[in-house]
Amino acid sequence: MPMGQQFEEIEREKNATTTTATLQPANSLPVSKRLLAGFLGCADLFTALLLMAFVAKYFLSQHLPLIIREIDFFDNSWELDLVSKARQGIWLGRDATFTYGPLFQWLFSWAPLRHGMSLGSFYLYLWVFQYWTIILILYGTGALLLRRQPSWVRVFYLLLLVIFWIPVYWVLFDIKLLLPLFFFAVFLRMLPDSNAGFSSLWWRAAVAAMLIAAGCLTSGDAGGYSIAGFVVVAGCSLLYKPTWVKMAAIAKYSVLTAAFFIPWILGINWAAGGILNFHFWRDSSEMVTHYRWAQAVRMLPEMAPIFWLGVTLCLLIFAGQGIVFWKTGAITMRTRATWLAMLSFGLLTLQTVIVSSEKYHVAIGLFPLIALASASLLDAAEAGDSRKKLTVCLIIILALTGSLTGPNHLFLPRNLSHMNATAANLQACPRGLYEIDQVCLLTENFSKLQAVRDFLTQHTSPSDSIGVFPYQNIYGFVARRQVAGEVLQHYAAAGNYLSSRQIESLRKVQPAWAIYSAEPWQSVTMGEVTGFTRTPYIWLYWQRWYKDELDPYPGVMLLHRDAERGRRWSMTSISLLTRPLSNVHQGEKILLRGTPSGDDFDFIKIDLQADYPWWWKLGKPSGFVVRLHLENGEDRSVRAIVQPNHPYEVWIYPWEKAQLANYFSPNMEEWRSGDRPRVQSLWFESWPVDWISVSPSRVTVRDVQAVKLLLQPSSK
Amino acid sequence: MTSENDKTAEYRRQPGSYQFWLPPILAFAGLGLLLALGGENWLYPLPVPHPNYEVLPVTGSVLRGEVEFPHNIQSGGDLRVHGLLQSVDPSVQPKQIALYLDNKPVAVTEIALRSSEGQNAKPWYWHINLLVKGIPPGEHFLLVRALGPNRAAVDILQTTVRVLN
Repeated sequence: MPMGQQFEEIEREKNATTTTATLQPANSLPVSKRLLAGFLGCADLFTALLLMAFVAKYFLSQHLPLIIREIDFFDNSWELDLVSKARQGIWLGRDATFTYGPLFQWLFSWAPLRHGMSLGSFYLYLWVFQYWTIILILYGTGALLLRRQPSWVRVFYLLLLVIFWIPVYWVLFDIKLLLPLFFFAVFLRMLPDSNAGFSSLWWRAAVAAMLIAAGCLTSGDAGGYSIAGFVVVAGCSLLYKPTWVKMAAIAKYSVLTAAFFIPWILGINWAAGGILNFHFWRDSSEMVTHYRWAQAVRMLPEMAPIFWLGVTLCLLIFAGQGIVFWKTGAITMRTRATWLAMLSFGLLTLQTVIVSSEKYHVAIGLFPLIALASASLLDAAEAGDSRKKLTVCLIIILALTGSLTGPNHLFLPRNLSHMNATAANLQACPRGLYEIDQVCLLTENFSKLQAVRDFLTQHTSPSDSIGVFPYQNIYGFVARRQVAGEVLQHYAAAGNYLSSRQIESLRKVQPAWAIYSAEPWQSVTMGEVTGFTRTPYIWLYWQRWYKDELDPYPGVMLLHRDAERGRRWSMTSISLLTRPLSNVHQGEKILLRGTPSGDDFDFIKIDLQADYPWWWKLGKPSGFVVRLHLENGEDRSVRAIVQPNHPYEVWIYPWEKAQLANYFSPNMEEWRSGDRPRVQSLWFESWPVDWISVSPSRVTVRDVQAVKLLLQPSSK
Repeated sequence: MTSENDKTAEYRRQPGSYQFWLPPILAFAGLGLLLALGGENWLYPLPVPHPNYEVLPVTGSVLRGEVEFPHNIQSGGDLRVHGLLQSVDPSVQPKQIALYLDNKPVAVTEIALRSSEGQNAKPWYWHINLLVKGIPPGEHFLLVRALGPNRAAVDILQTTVRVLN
């Protein structure tokens, strides 16, 4: 008997049992009771709507200006720029690229743009957007995964996840994983039976293709996870008692889905520039590929036990469920396949944790596994003896929740009353805070934003673009000026393609003014790698064509384009290596031939290739440290990133990174102010950033060069 | 998302015994209790890296900018404090930055001022490296002070550093 038929018969039997226990047919009940029945059946939907209304009331009852105090210049910069670019008709995927896509940009910017673009409206709707997407997606996921359970179970699931388990931090609780989680639940629900006819298959395939396209339009990651969710569901359904009929049905379903996806590809191409212009897909693929090595973040040793605790508990839940299935013969094949698919997809989404292992991404990455394990436990009631089992499962879930987490601050009664009191009384910024663009900020944030905004509004017109280095696009937002560059943030321009595209777009626009935020004062270093070492050619572009005009705040420099400087600018280099080194061992010192003194060069450029075994793509590459021994006896170390299995140039500034800001001085004599002792030797260490990172199998150093920047004398 | 059959079947279940009511009561009472207890959400206690160095803003009426200093110093190692400062009033420029450990002056650096243009005083970068020798392990009070003409002083940073053995 084919598996599908087997499944359907068990279902029929179950329905028959339920009907036998019925006291009277539903349609003979009074209208009021039928309405009540309908209401109770949709209790999860009403709960979701109530939660959304609560969120809207909570945030939208606040008055502007909002008390923000301090702005997170790093993440808020790209978030604000998405809104700003949407207002100017600049869309991700078509005119610019980033780790998100146009669908996310549209959803994210919709409300702030309709209610007057300002920092205040941005922060107000940021939270509403955040919670609404979470509530809707988790409602949908619960409705699909727990559809055979009474609606109160789904209500419980929704409240449990929304109040206790969602790790909300700005927009970092992330639609990139939430949306694929929901799509995965849809794929599970839509999986066709073995004997499904074409009419049943085509609409399922059309919906699957549409969801995958929506994932791709949201972000490259979401697209990847959506495709993975589809493959996992299809693959797991084949693992249980594969038959030719079943394989044929799944093959037809997959082929049809692929066929329906082709119009989406062409449609997206058309919207992004031309029906045969595939740059949207190229950009997304480059973003996802390079993120793994360029933006990998180490997992702290203290985080590893927490990670393993979370994973182990979830695996134990799945294992317990597996044992129940094994012992209970009456479980359908489809249920077993669902169990396996949920486990596999939950483990797959841990990729997010593996690549970017800081606090927020660990929480975000663990969430799908937690959500799926909870659904698996709550769905246990399907397996016979349901009420007792459900009670035990509830006790387990409540015990784990009570011992591991507490409610999200939004849902704490004391916070709600505090917020209402604050919202009612606030008409202007309290003492010590200053208003700019409908938010109240502390002095330091306020001074910087105000100084730059005032300067830009006086010296540029609204149609002008400005430049930013390394990532503070927020200045463009507050001044209502477009930030130049097709890659939304320079740090995302990793790899030759994105880096070249970014520089090309800057050359095309040639903004008259740029804002440089010096490290360590005004910019944080991602993974302790300086902006210069991360994107050397972009830094060199700004340094060549722009000079420091005004320092409105220490470390914040307003750079003015100087074409004459650009023409006079030149770069020379001399090799410091007698011959290429084909296999540099860990910690092997490379003695440099006659290094120039500190006044005679500016940077060290190392041409190298780090070869990794193939499995680095399941983890993350090691970090690189360039260690330098200086003439004065001091040892310095500079962190770097290296693209695996690819020729790569590591650029380092051997001395104090704060001195890099001097290079924007119009006066070349000021570029090299400060202590710059001679470099005597250097060596590398591939630095295993954490237990997940993979060490390179071989490092080849082709050359080490001392690079010097010059301004040729003016011809006048 | 639930089918009509599911909804109907759900309504048809009649409360025959405590087994029918117990699970939902347990579920929602449990959630209510956990909400009332109000423990800490799991996101917040997750560990974050604490670098040994910290950058603090300087927002005074005379000087503004940032200063970076270490939390811990190894005995025999360097105590490195550096900063980027700017005079709020370009006509008032400090001459020196002095470092005090437990209220005793231990190091001083001259300020190399960059050329100012009009009303905009250029920020100046300074750093002090001090070899930590003969200082007992434990907490010490660190003071960084800008000294102007006529020995006028502005405190830039007051904090504690820990000397490790």
